[in-house]
Order: sequence, then structure tokens, then C-alpha cells
Amino acid sequence: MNERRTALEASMSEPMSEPMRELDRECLAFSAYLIRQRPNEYVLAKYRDAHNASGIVELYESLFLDRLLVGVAAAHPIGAKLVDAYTAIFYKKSTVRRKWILLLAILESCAPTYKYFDVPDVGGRAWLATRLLWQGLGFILALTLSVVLFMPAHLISVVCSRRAGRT
Amino acid sequence: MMGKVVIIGSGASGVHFALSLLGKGYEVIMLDVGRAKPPAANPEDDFNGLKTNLIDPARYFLGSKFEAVVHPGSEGEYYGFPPHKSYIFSRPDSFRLEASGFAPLLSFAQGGLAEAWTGGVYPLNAAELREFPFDFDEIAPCYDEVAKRIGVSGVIDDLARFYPVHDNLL
Repeated sequence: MNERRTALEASMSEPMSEPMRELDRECLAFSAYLIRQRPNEYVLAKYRDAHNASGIVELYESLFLDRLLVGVAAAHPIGAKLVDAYTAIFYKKSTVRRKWILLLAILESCAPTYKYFDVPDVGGRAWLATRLLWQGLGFILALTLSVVLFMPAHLISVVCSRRAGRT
Repeated sequence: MMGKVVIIGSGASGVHFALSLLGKGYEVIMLDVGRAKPPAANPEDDFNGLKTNLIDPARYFLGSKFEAVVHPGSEGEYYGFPPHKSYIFSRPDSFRLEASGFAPLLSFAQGGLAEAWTGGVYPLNAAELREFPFDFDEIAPCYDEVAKRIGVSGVIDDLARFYPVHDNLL
């Protein structure tokens, strides 16, 4: 653990560029949305590493719609909820979902955040039914709003991509 | 003394066959070659201990390039395989395999596919054995014997109508 801390301290002491700081802000916002916890320095460093190593940055920079969705999701938890609902149905391969999956994998692979994934749900059937109903209604509401907000941009993005493909 | 039997491969099937033969008094020679398992990272740690005590647990579980993370639309398996297990499915460059109508799963690791054991133990049921020259009732005692040897845990629940239940569950 001390060696891990030392390595992280070394990486953290290096001057950080603006894109790296942007990734840290993104990681903080996404972690709050996904597991309602603040990521530690190790998770922040791995999230930055992942963007350098996995080629996700190229994806991110390629499409206007992806930049929009990542920006909205990182801006506020309600924005993340809307983006989550929209991309779950209409844009599963979006960059923002890739980033969430990447971050979830990092969070689950290290302490102390892995514990969040191991805790079983509490409550009986009535509580489960209530939660499902509440989450279902919330999802429908979020999806409705998100379609109004993001569908126009999505359609424009598709049309622009097709035109660019012809030229 | 009974006869001598050579078993090629030390995977799950091979070791059970060897044990059965030894029990009947046969002399067994087991041969296996293949890629060796790398040393365990922290032998004293359990699964969550690795997440806590490794210097870089994300690298261990996800890979240096996060290649074990499965993104939407990715081809291949639907779950990620930890990079430290890559020796199980890596193949020699010269190896070629052609299959039609099925997807063979094979390994060049010592111990075979048992090295990638994921904990699911599903016996073939009567419908799946319809084309075989034996039925489920005939091999049920063999399933029970294996369950006794390796310790298969489980309960009789709503999945029992899909998966036959052994008499010797833990």
C-alpha cells in the first residue's frame, strides 16, 4: 500500500495539463453519479491512464454528440441521469457509456470502492416492488425529457456524419 | 495388478478419469505439456485482499491497457478475462483451427480449461443427451461421484427444472 501511495504521489506531483484536470473533474462527477462516493487519488490516476491507454480519447474527440453527452453528464447528476436514460435506449455505444463502464471497472477493482458493489440490497418484496416502481417511473420521466433534449442533436449528428461520409 | 493406462492431459476430465482408474487398481501415467501458470500475485490474499493489498489492482484485474474492460458492441466474450489468465487461451502462432457449426474451446495451458474454472457446474439433461448412446439415468451416478469429489454446492430451487440436481450437493 505504501508503494502504491508512493507511485501515486509521484504521478500526482507531475504538472497536470488542462485535459488531465478535465478528466479529474469528469471522474469526480461520474463517480458521484455511479456510486455516490468520492474517488481516491488512485482511481483518479487510473481514470487518466485509461484514457491514454485505451483509445477512448480519440472516440471522445470524434463526434459532436459524444462531446455534448459527456459534458452534460459531467455537469450535474440530473444531467447524468438524462444522458444515462437516453444512451441506454438510443446510443448504447456512446463515449459516455464507455467512460462509465471504464470507471465502474476501476472502482470495482480496488479498495475501498469495491465494497459498494458487494453490498446486497436490503428489504423485502414490498420494498423491492416500491423501488422498482419508483426507478421505473423515474426512468420513463428521464427518458421523455432526454428525447426532447438530445434527439435533435442526435439526428443532426447522424445527418452530418452521413454527409461527411459521402464527400 | 491391473493394466497400465496413459492419460494425456491433466484437465478436469483427465484427473477424474485418473482417480477412477486408480481406485480400480490400474497404474496411471499422466502426460501433459503446455503453458505454465505464472506465480500467484499475493498467495496469502483472497479476492478482496488482492483489491486492497496489490500495488496496482486495476492493472492486475483490467490490464495495463484496460483490455479486460468489455465495452458495448465489443466482439468476443460477454465478460472480461483478467490479463493474468491470458496464458490459458493464448495459442501458438502456427496453430490453425477450423470449425463449422460449433465453437470449440481449447487451451494450451498445463491443466487445460480447468485453469479457467468459473464455478458453474451444469450437468447435461435428458433432452441434451437424446442423441447420445446413454441417457441421464445411466450417468447420474457419475455426476454424483464428481460432485462428492470436488464439492458442488447448490440448492433445489426454481432452476432445478432446467438443471438436474445432484444427490450429493454440499
